[in-house]
Amino acid sequence: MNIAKKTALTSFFLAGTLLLTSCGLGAAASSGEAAISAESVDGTDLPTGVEIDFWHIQATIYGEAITEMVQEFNATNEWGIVVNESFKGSYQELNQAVRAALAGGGAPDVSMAYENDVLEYVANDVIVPLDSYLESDNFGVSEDDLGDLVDGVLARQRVDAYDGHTLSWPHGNSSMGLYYNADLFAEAGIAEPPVDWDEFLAQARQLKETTGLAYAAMGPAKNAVFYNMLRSKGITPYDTGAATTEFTSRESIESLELLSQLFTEELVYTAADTEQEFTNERTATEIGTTARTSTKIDQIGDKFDWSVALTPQETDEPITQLFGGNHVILASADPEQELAAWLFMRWFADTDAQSIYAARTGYSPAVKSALDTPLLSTNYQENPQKADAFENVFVNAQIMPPTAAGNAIDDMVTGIVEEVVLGWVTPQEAAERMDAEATRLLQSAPQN
Amino acid sequence: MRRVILYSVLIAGAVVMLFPFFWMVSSSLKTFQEVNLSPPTMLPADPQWSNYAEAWGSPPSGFGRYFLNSLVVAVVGTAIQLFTGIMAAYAFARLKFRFSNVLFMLVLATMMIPFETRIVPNYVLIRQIPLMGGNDIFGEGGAGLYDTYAGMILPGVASAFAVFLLRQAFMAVPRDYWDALRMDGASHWTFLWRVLIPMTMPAVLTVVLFGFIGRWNELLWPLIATQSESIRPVQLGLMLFSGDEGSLYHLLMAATTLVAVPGIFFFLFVQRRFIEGLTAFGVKG
Repeated sequence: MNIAKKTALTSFFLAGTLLLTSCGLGAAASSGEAAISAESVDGTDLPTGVEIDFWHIQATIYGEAITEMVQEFNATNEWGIVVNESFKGSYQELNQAVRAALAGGGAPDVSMAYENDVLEYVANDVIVPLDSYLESDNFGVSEDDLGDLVDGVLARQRVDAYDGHTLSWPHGNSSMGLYYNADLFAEAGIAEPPVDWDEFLAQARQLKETTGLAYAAMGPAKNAVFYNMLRSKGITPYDTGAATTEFTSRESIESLELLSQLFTEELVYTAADTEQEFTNERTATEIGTTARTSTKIDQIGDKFDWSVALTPQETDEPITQLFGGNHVILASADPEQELAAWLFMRWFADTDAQSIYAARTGYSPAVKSALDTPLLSTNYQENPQKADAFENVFVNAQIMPPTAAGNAIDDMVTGIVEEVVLGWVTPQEAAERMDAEATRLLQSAPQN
Repeated sequence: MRRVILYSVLIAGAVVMLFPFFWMVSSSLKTFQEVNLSPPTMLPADPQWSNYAEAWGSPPSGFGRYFLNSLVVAVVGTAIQLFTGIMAAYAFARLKFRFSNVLFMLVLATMMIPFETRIVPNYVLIRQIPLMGGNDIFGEGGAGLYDTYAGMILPGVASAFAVFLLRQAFMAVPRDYWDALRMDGASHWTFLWRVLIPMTMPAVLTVVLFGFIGRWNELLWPLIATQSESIRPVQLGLMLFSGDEGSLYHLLMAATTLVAVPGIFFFLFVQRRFIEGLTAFGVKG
């Protein structure tokens, strides 16, 4: 056999082998399981030293806090579980990595995920329901501990779309609050942050008249503020089950009119970085995530007196937006791995871990008992704005109804709200367009 | 007068091009408070040289380790890419075989496949590669090349761009050289390494530069192909200063300055040849 033939045969064999192995795609992904019972969870004999992989999206002080928490868990857990944490970039990059791993093997045992990701994992049968773990005598969560979770945080682990199951467990979250500069308020003769949207507008005019400053800056993505306005008026923007929306409701059109008015009178303007506008005292307020409370503390220092309040409300049941992801267990077909994953997730959402997380970052703790720990109570005494973020804002936070069409609806709403504030369309026209577009998107979303 | 205008335009262009670098260095020396000031300060009020030390030591394994990882991936990856590129380009430029033009078009067509669509196939390939990383002959049972240097390097070792550029360069060398050497009994191998490569050095260096910078700047693939923090390259190190909940710009800029230095020196070293390569073979950057 000459060299050319030998080379050709070798190449053919190698290519064929690679092709065959590639065809094995999906073997790991197809191991999604029927729900196991609490008894079988209790019966699982967990050997010492089980290793699990945990993928997350946290960098900066959040990543450092996670490293500290994982080290704490690895050093103290009674089962000798070893958690290998890995930073996987943004949610989008994490999602790409998980998809690749589900196809090729090596998926993490625990991953951060939003509700939309969870629905996608359910559709692909690669997620482990947590009901049996929660009910387990040996490894479960007591009623007292369930009651310790902040209402909105617990609710998002068992949303309607999960059909009565608990599919995720808390990571640590933030919420949408109204930061205000108390010194500028005092200069303008404003005593307290606004309680409703009429007062928001009145205060904005008063501040402009007395100080010449804008009341707030809003980022390019104004959908979150618009949703917040709707929900504060008792309106849920859309119903994922019925594929209907409330965008043409009276409250929705009122909200769009208010936004238009705020921009027309130059009481509010658009800025790429609203935090810089607030911390540099160009605006008196900022509507933003409470996750930035700790960095605001560093940036503002002693420059001015400030705090964070609940966004304006118009019903008896205050509500604001809840942000951030959760933890899920990805199926591994190994009960020991999955139990170890659950035990880590349970510890992560419990008092000690959440007190570390909330003390080191701007997140609020998922459990109320964390406030009583020496670490967090001291931290909140030293940083009263973080305590305000929890007490005034976070306890009232709820997520938007999860849907696979969520991102598309957000983008569409953002674009149309921008047209409203620029005066290109009337609120009525905008509302009708939002309704038509969102209905179409909800009807075509695979999980609705 | 024309000279004054010419120099004015050139200086203005240089200022525009250099300003981002100036801004990066200036921001790297500011405090966290100052870097978030608006309007911003042009120069740091009190230069914080310690930002560099803090950025360098921030990752658990340190930026030194990340530099080493990037260097291994960039140098080895570029070397293999150059080798495969030269081999394929020579075949397409100098050897006559059936369907060569069709195959060349197929190679070029791969340039139109977006990287994102190749992520899953590439991941499956490195994870299920047979007889490596604990895998059996069918590619199962282990982690394959996942979380290894080889896993980071392998998917980019054949570059259609390199093949295209080198083929064009090889074809520009007159055939008379080959005819003369063949009269003396030289082989293809001798002709390639003794004549073609030296004569097309600008193109070779262009491939090296593009390959090196491409590897050095890779972000998504190392993120997906690795789990251990200690094996990750510098670009992933930069991500540690910027997340969903905000950025530490002063440290990010300090780390970015450190990461940019090798690329700048490398470019200065080969820039003349690089520009020759671009102009000689019609590549638009």
